[in-house]
Amino acid sequence: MEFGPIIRALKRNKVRFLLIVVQIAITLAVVTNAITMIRDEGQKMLKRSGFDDDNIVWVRSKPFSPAFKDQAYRISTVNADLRAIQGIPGVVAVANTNFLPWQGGGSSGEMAVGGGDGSKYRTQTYTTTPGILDALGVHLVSGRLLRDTDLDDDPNSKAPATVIISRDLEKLMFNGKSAVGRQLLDSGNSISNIVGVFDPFYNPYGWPIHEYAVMFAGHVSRSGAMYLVRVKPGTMKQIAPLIEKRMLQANNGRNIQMQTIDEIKDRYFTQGRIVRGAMSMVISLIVLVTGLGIVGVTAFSVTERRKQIGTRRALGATKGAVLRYFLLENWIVTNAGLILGVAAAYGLNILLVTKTAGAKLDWRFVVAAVVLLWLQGIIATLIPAMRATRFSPVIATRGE
Amino acid sequence: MLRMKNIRKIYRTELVETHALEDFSLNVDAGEFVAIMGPSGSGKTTFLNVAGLLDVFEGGVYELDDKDVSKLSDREMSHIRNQKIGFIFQSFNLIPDLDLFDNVDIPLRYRGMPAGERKTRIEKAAEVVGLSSRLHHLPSQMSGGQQQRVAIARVLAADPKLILADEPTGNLDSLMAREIMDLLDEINRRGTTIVMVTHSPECAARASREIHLFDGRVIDVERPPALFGGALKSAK
Ligand SMILES: Nc1ncnc2c1ncn2[C@@H]1O[C@H](COP(=O)(O)OP(=O)(O)O)[C@@H](O)[C@H]1O
Ligand SMILES: [Mg+2]
Repeated sequence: MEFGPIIRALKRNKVRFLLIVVQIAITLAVVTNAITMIRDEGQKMLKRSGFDDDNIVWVRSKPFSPAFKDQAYRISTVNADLRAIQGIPGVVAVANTNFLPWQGGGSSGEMAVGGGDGSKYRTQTYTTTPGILDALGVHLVSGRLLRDTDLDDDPNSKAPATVIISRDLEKLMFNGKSAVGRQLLDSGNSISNIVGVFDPFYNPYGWPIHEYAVMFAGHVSRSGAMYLVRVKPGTMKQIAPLIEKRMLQANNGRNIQMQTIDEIKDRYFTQGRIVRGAMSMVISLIVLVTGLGIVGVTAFSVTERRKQIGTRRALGATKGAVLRYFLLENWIVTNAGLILGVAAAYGLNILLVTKTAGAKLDWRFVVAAVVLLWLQGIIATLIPAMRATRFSPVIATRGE
Repeated sequence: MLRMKNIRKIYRTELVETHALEDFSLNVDAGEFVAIMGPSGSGKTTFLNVAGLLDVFEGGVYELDDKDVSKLSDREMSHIRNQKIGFIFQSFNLIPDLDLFDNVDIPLRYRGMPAGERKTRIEKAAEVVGLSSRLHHLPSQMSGGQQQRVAIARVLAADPKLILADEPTGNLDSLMAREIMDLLDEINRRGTTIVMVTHSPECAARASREIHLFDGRVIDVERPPALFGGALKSAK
């Protein structure tokens, strides 16, 4: 093989080939990370929340009456709503909470183990009344449920809050030991007592904290009260209008808004499908553009080296040798781009993982993309290189 | 070495047919140094292309080194060019991105010769043409005469049986031309057959035989054909 002379000739045409090297590197970095995003979105869509999604409806009270400016009034209204909704036949459970599954987000904070080494763990954090586990259809694994006496609505309270946490967060923070009876410290060093652990919990989030949750005992009433209501299977259609009616009967200084979790989930999946579609398009486009770039540069090289190719043919190069020359040259350029590209792919991924909620790069995607770009390089080179093989050796004597 | 009988080469374009070689016959024996002369357009380059298996021809028989080469595949012609023929061109035809060493190396690599032997041959050839100190110079860093000497080194290293040269001194001044002719003389004296197209009577005089072409045929200089003579007469 003629690696030596090809590499030496390449070095004398650095600028032209450097462009392709950089283009291939960028392509590899973008393609591998885009595939990762596509798979990540797909996995999020496949994953079950573990909640009784089909039978849960989200209800929001949007007050217009000035009476709602008073916190005590708001809380008494919430308690009245909870009683009214729970009283509807067919309602399994209801909770007043700011947790709403399948939005692709929620609220989060950093927590440390009380009396622990100070390590901080990011977790989703929500406030709720005691009915939450039944409203979601998840189970208490250890400890006890939240109680009405745990509810703490004073934002300046010095007393420790009462919380229940998801089992995956317990595993993450307490190394397989029970979290019940232990304490959490938030970033302001406020203490929370853990009284119970529940499972399962999965809510796709902007950070990789989909399985981690802390539920604080409290009412949610500040910007309109929100409720999760779980009904008996197949009764949603009949019960949903009843909920609105009963709530307005209890207090008509407000509007009621409702959405089933299935509707919310659908919207979330639409987002995921859009991300997947957009990333697929990005991959096709960048591969196409890079492919055309290789075709262009090779076509230019072939035209420019017409006389040289004729001379090589005169000196004994077969058509195969001419083809091999261009393929080898492209392979060397492609490899330089791919080596740079693997570094760029991991660099970009580190950025995506730390700055956004990007998933970690799978090395198998890198291998697949390398193979894809090798093939692309060969195909893109073949088109102009085949033309070079048809140059007649006569070119050597017919000065052009 | 080279035996052509009734060779015909026609260039066809949409409008005209050019009979570049017509009923062309020529024998060149091993060890000869033949100069091909003739006016522009008389078919000298066409003959060289056919002789060097750079181009195909239509009628006639061509035997090279006692082998019929009239009906060979492209691949077989490439191998014969590589192993038996050395080319020297008017415009040198060096690869601009490769230095002297790599340029001389080209035909040797196509032969699949081991690296050690290639190196020995390249260095020896560079020494013969007096460019030992410029092994890693690019063509752009050399004068025209030096570039043509690199091209001769490329032929020398490959050690072909037949050298075909198309106006090798056409782009050089007379001093450089003389150096090139000295080298070709030397190579011929070592036994290599040379067929050289030239316009220069001075260069042709160095050859052992002169062949004159006119309208795609070999003509007898002593007795020019009527048409040639007639043309000359009418010009007077
Ligand atoms: N590729 C070609 N297509 C058409 N005609 C050609 C081609 N090459 C050469 N010819 C014609 O063939 C004739 C011989 O050309 P050539 O062998 O180059 O002559 P010389 O080398 O003696 O000047 C000329 O008439 C020339 O115009
Ligand atoms: Mg000519």
